Amino acid sequence: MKAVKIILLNNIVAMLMVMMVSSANFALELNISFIGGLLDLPSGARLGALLLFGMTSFPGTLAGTLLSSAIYTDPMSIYAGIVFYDSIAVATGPLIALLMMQQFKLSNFYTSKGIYFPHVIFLCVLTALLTSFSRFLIMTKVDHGLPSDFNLSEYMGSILLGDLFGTLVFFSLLVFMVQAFSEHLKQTSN
Amino acid sequence: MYTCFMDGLLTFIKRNICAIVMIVIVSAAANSLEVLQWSIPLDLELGAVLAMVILFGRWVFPGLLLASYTTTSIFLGDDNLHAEVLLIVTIVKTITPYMALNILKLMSLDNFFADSRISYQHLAILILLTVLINIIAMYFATLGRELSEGFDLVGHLSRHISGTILGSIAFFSVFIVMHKAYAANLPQNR
Repeated sequence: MKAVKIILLNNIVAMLMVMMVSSANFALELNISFIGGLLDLPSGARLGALLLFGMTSFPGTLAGTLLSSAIYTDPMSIYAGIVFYDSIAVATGPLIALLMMQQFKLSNFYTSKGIYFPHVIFLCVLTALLTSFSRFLIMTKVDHGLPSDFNLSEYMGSILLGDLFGTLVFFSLLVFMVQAFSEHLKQTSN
Repeated sequence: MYTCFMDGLLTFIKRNICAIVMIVIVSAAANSLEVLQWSIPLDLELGAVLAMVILFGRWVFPGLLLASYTTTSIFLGDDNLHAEVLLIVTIVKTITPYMALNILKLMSLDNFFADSRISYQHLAILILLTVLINIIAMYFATLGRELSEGFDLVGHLSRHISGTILGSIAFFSVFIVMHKAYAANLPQNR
């Protein structure tokens, strides 16, 4: 029963995390034009949720992604029709990448001192590749086809860059704050 | 001596960057909730500012001031009630948590970490005191300035108080769950 409670709590926190960071990304892109596409914070939050709470937090991550895309997507946009599939692809990418890394024994994301960034960055790159490829497939199959001047490498590059920056910002903040918190707790433990 | 100074300077810069990024992200999230005319008042920014003050102390004051000014000028816009008192609002928003913290120190109620746990009672007092000082300071800052016709001051204040309290609780709850998950993932705690 306790395990179920913990899983439920983790899923709620994962959902809130993804929604909060998606909201922040939406406002930043709306108000600061050069950020558009350069910083994908929700991607960092999704990876963070899976690495912190484990794969059991996937439903929360998926729910957060679906809710935020339902709230923040412009219904008049040409992409409005594929938002649902796009959100599923974006939320499933990190999970598949994590499973792949576990298969290849590359899933040592934590060391005794904290997060092991090389593996996290590799996970992020793998997630970006999977996500961009699946989004590309969705765009070709579901929507009205691709625009004539569509450049796949440019598209994948922009997703990779956004994911990388988003993940780095999210994990740096997380590690820095959590370590400061742990230091305070250590000082009062005796 | 030189190395010690450089280490201190580096920590100071890192903490301030962390504070700026965190406040900007949280304010952006709060701003998109406002844009959507979210019916539940939720001001996450104060929770984030208090977390920074508790975790990093007075060293992050410049970062908080800069972040507060940036977010107020980006997200509030020129047509906002606070636009003409932007600088005063910024300084008030940054100073009030420190004022509350100093008052709690005088009364020996600043033990936010005890027996390896966070002390929720002291944290709750800090949140309430900060909100109270914030409101009094804002009242004096806007005293003598004409409020727009039909402005519901009581409604605005009650929304502000409930929003900041709910926002702080939400922020700290999410952060504490994330910290627990992070600590549980470290190899020495498995």
